[in-house]
Amino acid sequence: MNSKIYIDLAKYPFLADLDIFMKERLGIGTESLGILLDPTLPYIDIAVKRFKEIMKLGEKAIHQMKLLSAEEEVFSFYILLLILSTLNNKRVTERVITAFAKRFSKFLEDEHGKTLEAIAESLNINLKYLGPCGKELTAAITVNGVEIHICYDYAVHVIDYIKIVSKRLSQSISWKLTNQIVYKGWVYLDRHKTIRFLEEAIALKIYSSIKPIEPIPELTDLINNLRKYVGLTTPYVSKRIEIKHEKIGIELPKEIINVNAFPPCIRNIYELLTSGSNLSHQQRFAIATFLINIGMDLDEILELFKHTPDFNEKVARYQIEHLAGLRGSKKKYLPYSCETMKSLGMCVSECNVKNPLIAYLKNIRKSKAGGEKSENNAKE
Amino acid sequence: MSPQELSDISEKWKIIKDLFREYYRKRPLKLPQDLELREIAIQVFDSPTYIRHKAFQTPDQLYKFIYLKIPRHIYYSSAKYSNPAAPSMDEKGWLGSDLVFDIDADHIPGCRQVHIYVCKDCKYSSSYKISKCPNCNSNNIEIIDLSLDDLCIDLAKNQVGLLIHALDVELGFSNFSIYFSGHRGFHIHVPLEEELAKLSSDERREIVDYLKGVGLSRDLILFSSKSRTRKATPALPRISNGGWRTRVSRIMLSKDLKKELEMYIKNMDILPSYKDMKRYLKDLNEALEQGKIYLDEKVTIDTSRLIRIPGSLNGKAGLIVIEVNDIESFRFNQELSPFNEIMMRVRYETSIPQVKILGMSIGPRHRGDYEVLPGAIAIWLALKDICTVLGITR
Ligand SMILES: [Zn+2]
Repeated sequence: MNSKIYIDLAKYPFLADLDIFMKERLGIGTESLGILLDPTLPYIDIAVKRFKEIMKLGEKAIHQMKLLSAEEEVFSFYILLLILSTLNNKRVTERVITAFAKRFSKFLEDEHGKTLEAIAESLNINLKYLGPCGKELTAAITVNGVEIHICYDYAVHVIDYIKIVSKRLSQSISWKLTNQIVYKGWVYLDRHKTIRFLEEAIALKIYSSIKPIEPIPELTDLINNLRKYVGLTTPYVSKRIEIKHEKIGIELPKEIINVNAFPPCIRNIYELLTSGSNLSHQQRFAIATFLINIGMDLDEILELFKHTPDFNEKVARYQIEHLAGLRGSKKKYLPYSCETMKSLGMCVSECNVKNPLIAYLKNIRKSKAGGEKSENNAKE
Repeated sequence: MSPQELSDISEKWKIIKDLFREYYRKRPLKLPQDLELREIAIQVFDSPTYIRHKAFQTPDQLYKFIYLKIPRHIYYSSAKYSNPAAPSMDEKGWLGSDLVFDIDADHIPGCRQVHIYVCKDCKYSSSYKISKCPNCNSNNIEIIDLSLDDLCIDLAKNQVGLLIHALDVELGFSNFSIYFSGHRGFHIHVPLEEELAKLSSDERREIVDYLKGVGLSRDLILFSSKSRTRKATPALPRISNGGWRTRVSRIMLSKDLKKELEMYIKNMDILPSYKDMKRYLKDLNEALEQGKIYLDEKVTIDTSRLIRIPGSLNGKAGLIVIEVNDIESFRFNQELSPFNEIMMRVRYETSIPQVKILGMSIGPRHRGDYEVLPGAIAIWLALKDICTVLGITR
């Protein structure tokens, strides 16, 4: 039997193809995207309100979000993605997506297994609903000879499982493939884990749809407002200004790497790194971009990363070369600004500069001036 | 260096190169359907560097290249590229990679190899570890893997058995080929198409971790939370349970079990007693260790790995990279060499202790000794720089 399964796009707006959905509801497609931003329509207000609530309350904000009509949900959701793409700030994006994924996950909890199967299919994931206790194992046996069972209602194809889980979830042993019930290419899951798995798949799908973009004119004011709201005090900077920033990197003295001239925040990460601590992704980014920009040899940087417990030479080399602009996008990355370092909780002292690179440059100049002086002294 | 010695060096590989050429004349390679998408790389006899970034549209073109260069080692990429001859990864245009596993006997605990330590300057050799040559004081010492115990190959075979069962029954990859590596291990190729081939390194690592048991939690595998609160004991896994429970079940069946438990593990509708279940938990812990597969993880994780072409000769030992249809019946002997039907006259360049190579006991021999050896053994020793092949006796 092939009964039709209805998926409510109001609950799952990320499944809507925006172009088709606009044509269906408004008679025009994404070529007229601007119409959604018309201030007399409710969508932009919904998006901004939800954005602000999430920035303020995090995941808790989802309890205050009423389920609206499909138009309102889908259009406001895509406007929100547009805002995230323009803001282009990792912390903000992560906060918003995590909260929304939780909201979608709450909806999933009320769905029938067949609906979960269909939602997974829309996400390109091969998930099977097996029916109640579709796979049953003997987990334990009591002194009195009573069998204790364990039940699985769902199975996901092992490749899809790996693709979703290897990004973030497999850091936890309960998600690692090693500890799963995988048989003939299917990973068996109970309902609770299936929903958590789909939540992750949804979050990843939304992430993949957010690409940095220039603000569209209708949104410039709004974006600058929101930047202030989330604590990014500088207004939006266009690409041209970024190039100027890169020049700072080029002017830095490359001959000698002077660890003593590192600003305290970088010094701190540097010491964690060399002592073999496991660094967060952001700490790795901060130290690697800093070292690249002060002109340290890439092989030397790689050598330093050999201290990390999960070191994989090939991956590390790829990432460092990527940050140095030798790969793919050919974009050389600057270290986080001091502002970003502060918001990530990695700033340890006020240096009164905008970027750790500048602090380093100042320290180097200071030490050089000192050095020359003492040399002169020696001559006398 | 005297003129005689110079000519010795250029002559050193002549006979072996002729034999390799003759071998490749039979067009013995098992080439992939998508040959034109693979990078080909070789290493020749007279130079330690690789010739990389080659690509060929047809087998004919590839063989022409082989006859010209006479490769000591020949590889293709596990990856498919839109432009395999391009010099950098960015320009090659990665289209995806097969899944490749490498099981090398010398990585498996319990395998003992026979090494000798040879001074590269004066050819003095020792069975014991030396870091300085007692003859000429040189620090230029090389370790040579002279041979390995039969036990090593048995251990490797057992690992291959575990691996292919895990690939097939657990992970569902039923399409794979097993190859003897031509030296002391096995390669398992799983051809992947389209989206599957695009698995990233991180994703491949997850598969490797699964096979090796990285992050394995006994409590999760045995559902310990279900037996913690009540007076209960974890149940032994059954063969069709899936995951590590299936792997461990197979190992348990190889142990001496009570008939009732064996039937239970084999999925029959029978429930052993609390006491019996509990009794075998110790064996279960042991089985969890025995289920860990010793893979060279770098090979699997690397999506641009070069792998030996099936049917080619391994230039470290002279044996064929041959497809193995049934791992149980694989035999490590001279028949793995295409030169096993000829005899060769050799001169030893280095002394060796008594040693068993490909089932045959030879030595001890001294530097400068002459001997007539079966082709497989002579080539094995020559490729390890132990002797020089002087001539062939058909
Ligand atoms: Zn010596």
